Amino acid sequence: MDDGIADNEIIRRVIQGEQNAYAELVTRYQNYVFTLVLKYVPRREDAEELAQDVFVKAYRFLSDFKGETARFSTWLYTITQNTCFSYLRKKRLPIDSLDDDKSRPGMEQLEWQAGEQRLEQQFRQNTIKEAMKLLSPSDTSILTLFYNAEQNLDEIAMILRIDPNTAKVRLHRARQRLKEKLEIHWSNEINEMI
Amino acid sequence: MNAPANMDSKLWDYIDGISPDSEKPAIEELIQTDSRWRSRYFNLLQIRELLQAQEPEVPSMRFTKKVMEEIARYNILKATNKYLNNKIIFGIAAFFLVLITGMLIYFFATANWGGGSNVHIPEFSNWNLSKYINTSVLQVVMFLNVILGLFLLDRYLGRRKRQLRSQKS
Repeated sequence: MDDGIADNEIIRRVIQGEQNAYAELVTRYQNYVFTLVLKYVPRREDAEELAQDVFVKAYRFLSDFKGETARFSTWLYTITQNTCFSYLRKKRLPIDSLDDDKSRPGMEQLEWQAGEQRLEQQFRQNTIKEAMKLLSPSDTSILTLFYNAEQNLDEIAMILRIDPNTAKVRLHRARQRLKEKLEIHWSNEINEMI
Repeated sequence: MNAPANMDSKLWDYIDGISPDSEKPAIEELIQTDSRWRSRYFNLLQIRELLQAQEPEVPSMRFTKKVMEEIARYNILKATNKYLNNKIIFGIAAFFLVLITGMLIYFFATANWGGGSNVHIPEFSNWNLSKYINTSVLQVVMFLNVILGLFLLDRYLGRRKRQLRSQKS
């Protein structure tokens, strides 16, 4: 995501007092930060506020970022993860309460909605998106970090503060769960896809 | 290797480019020769492509503007590692180094190097401790303790302040 000027160059300029340069970093990473926050905080208004907090925190602690040891995106996603966990703790919401299907509110409604959409659109992307909604926040965030946010296993380990091997295991489990959801809820579509 | 779960695991890693180099030729061969593996490979490849094609969520149009308005109220904080004054750390290290060196010098100076069997063990009861531990030494030790205490208190309060600030923001 280093289109144009490299992240580190922008950071250097921001630290030197060019505050407006920070807007470029916000524009570059806002979508993935927002996407990651949405995994934990489903209400878009809350998620947007939290994503803003992430960028404000990142700005204030920008001097702590060590460009030679990590990418800015990895550092930013670490702040995102920590901010989400603090928010959930403050709101006294369990961090991974959505791991279990039974504990997920509105699951049947979601399936019904997904079914409706499926009939209307027969849209592959939608199928994956809906299947992702049935996973726990930790599963979806690891899948998003790996497949969309271009983070490798070592970087994911850094973000989640876990061992790289644990990250690999978690990624594997998340993929398996996604596959299971696809097979259980959208087996026909999967067969059509392939 | 042929168990379904194992097959999926191997294929996912192969597709994602994280399988060990030693396993790659075997997996490639299985994909070429075994129809089950080939079918599963294309199945998982398709899911991976769909996963990668997922568009991220987009926040409101005013998002960047709101962030920029918010950060205008703040300054970038000094790097955390600069809170720790290296001179203090070196000072503490020097203190212990001098202490240990002094003890070693004393030990070697008073040791009896004369003979193996006649090792002279100093009798502690004969030591005149008041020669070494007097009011000035105690005052110096107390002073150093106060300095160390203040240093630790400063670190603790600094951390609390940062936590409160991050909770507010």
